[in-house]
Amino acid sequence: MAEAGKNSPRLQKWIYVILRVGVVVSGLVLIGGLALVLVAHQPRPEAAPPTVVGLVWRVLHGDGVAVIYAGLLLLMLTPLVQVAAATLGWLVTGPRRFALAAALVLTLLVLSLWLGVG
Amino acid sequence: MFTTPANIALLLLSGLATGVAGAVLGTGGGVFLIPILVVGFGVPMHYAIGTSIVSVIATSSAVASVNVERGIANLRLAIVLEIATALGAISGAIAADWLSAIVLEILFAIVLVPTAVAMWRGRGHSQPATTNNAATTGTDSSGSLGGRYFDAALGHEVVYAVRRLWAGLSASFVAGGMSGLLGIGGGVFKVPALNVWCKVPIKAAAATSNFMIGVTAAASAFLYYGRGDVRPALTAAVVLGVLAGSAIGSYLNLIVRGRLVRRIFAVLLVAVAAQMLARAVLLGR
Repeated sequence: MAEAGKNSPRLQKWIYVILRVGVVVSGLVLIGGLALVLVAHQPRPEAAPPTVVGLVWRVLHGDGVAVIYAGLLLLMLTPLVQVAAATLGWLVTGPRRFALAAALVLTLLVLSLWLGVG
Repeated sequence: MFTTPANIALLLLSGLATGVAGAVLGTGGGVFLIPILVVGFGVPMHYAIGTSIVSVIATSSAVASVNVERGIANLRLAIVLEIATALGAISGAIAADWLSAIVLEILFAIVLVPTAVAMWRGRGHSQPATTNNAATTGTDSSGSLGGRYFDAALGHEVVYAVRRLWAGLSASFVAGGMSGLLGIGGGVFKVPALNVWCKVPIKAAAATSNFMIGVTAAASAFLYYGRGDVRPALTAAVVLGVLAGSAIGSYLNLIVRGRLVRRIFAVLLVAVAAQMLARAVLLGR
């Protein structure tokens, strides 16, 4: 159990690692996608976002715009993973009422993800 | 917008500049980014908001990770307030889809004014940090939501209680709504409310708000993404620029602490607000 008024050190560490990894990985994917777009000379207006299945297929075929979309999605998913980790962390270390609050936030994020990305 | 190397380079530089300004001035950067995209590049308002909201996730995630590691961000308070901000952000993003670009530009220009006032006054003027004494004599009206952290500048541990949680929740809902509607972080609404109404020390209020901003932005970003308002090359270039700019700005922040710089930018923001308002009125005719 965490000391009163202090964040659980383990939870702090998890969130720190998730945020760092999320920013670095998505940043690298975005750099790769932009490079592909510029190298492949794709000076055209960009299309609407593909479906998740379509996105994976296009990334595997080296489509730069799809790689950028993947990088952006990774970045947008970082806070969601962070909240999921917080839910789990408070469930394990307590106080559990904060796990409930985190689960509520996670539900809202998943709802938004479902409405937006499908 | 076409993904030519020249455009990408210009967008990277714009992101870099707003990232530096945001880090040095303690704002999310969206207040500078959206006018640059809309007025400078002619990007449609909805696309500019979509780009800005993803940039907010990037900067918040980068800055928040440091605040979380130092223990300044109050995770418990953040997650409770986040219920209100996430609800507000989703509502704001849905409302943005119904509103015209002109209405959004007018609202954005209006929101720039309190941001400029906050920038003029500076964050450190609101309230001195609560000390250990306050924790032993004060009452925590919000259960275990209070926090403690070591303040290197003060040289001792700061302990605080959270008061009037309902006020914090209300301000958080408004901040979330503004974030989802206009693509800004919303800290300008949340930080003063946490500090003045909930009596959270300004450093903890800013760190907690910054930690929340990324989650709030994600709640609306998925909706903007689904509508096609997050344009890939535009957003990627700006996000990478903002991330680099934030890192440079965090370093410059240690050197540049001038009140004059802050006030120059505050005046600049008012001028930008006036320009965006005039533009929206002219377009609306």
